[in-house]
Amino acid sequence: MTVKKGRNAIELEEVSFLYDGTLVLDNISFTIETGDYVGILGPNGSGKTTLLKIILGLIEPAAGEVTIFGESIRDFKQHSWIGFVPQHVSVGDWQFPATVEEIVRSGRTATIGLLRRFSSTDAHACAEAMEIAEVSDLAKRRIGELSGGQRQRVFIARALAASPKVLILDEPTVGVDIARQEKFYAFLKKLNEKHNITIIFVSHDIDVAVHEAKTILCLNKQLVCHVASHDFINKDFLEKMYGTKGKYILHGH
Amino acid sequence: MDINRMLEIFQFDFMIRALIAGGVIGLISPLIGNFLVVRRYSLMADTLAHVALAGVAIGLLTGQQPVAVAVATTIIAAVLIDRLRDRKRIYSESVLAIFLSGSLAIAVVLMSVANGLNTDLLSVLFGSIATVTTTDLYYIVTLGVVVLATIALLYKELFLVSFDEDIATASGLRTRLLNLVTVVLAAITVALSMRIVGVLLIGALMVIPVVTAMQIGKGFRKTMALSVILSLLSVAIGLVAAFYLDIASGGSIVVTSLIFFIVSLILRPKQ
Repeated sequence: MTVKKGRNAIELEEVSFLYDGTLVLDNISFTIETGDYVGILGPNGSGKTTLLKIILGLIEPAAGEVTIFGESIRDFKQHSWIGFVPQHVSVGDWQFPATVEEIVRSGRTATIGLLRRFSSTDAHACAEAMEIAEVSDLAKRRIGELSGGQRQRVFIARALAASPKVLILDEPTVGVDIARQEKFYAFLKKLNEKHNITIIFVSHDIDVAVHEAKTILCLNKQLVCHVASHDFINKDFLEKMYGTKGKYILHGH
Repeated sequence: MDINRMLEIFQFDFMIRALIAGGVIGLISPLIGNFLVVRRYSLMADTLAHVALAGVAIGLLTGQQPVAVAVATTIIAAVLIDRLRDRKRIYSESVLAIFLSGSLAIAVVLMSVANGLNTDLLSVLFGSIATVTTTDLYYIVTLGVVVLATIALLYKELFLVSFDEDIATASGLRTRLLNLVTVVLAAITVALSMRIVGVLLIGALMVIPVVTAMQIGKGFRKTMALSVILSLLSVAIGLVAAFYLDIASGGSIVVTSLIFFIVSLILRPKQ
């Protein structure tokens, strides 16, 4: 199965989600085209992470339809097409005894399949992923010895090892300092432009998201806006999203 | 000590059985222990061990083979624990606490009924080299091979699930099933280890060599290999000490592994 040119990567149609009887996502519909670079914005509790979990198939929506590369998420089996980098990978105490190489190799687990062994093709894919994410020199280090930013890149290498078409990142730069954040987003841009990977990231940092992404999705339980990032600079969206006036000042880099 | 006295250990059938059983247990305990420790399930082993004690009590009361009943009871408890942990309204460590003390209570009641609060109980609690029967050995070797083969065949899947459940699920792995496999393997291991290491000490053999190896090991595979070496050494030294000094084997095995742990803390490079 290959991707047809111009086919949408992800489509949501009237998706809602309830958590303990409370509406967390309310009737969300949008389309993400292949090759897009999307920043999902929203205040705390706006349902950003829930939305990602639905797209990843970790949770099922209460209502609505999710379509991944033209197929209903229930039938979608090309899991390796979707790479995921979870929240908080760059912070916290990491005692997990694995090396960077072992973690990147785990990115091939689903591709290799049950009861099959790691082959030279897999080794090649991992080496390439580590090269792209610039972690080749860290291969033998334990994950716990790395800085937050390095760990972030290891998780991306892990996701890239499966040759994904879409990369989904949840709050990727929490705990990463400003200078490294810029480098990090430049790296994401390269993945998007040079390697043609559709990128979707969640952020609470309006400034960075608007500056980096091509498309902005604003969320506050409902879909507040879905625009090209250069059209975003409009206080109406901020008002709708955060429900306050003029408190959020954009302070471009 | 002259050479005859040293070789004496191999002249007793019970000691040969204890060494074979100890070898199997020393191998599989830290292997499954690795997955428990990194998932913060360290207390799972202890909890399942107490369930195994209840299993032994049921075995004694009904006249069934105690190891077989313990394996069955522990697997059932492992599945129940796994299901209960998914409920949002119960903390997962509370589930473990309930099963740990609850099954101990059941064991005590059953053993009192069976009038079995005797030395037999002590050997189940702390391990004994003299109590491994040929039937026990049959169970230990067969199920030991099953545990070993399952870990070998599912290694990469178990690794990914232990590393990050969300990533594992998102990449299409059947996370819940793999979690169940992990706890069932732990249950089997615990029930098998009862004779040699004892119910109260099996948790230590699944955790201490692993934590020791984590201090030194570079990488998950190497940590696993090192934990197995440490565990086998602890079992060998512990069994020999139990034989010559006439002490409970569980105690001597775990004390040996504890010494390795303390040494690893001293040798650990400062970060």
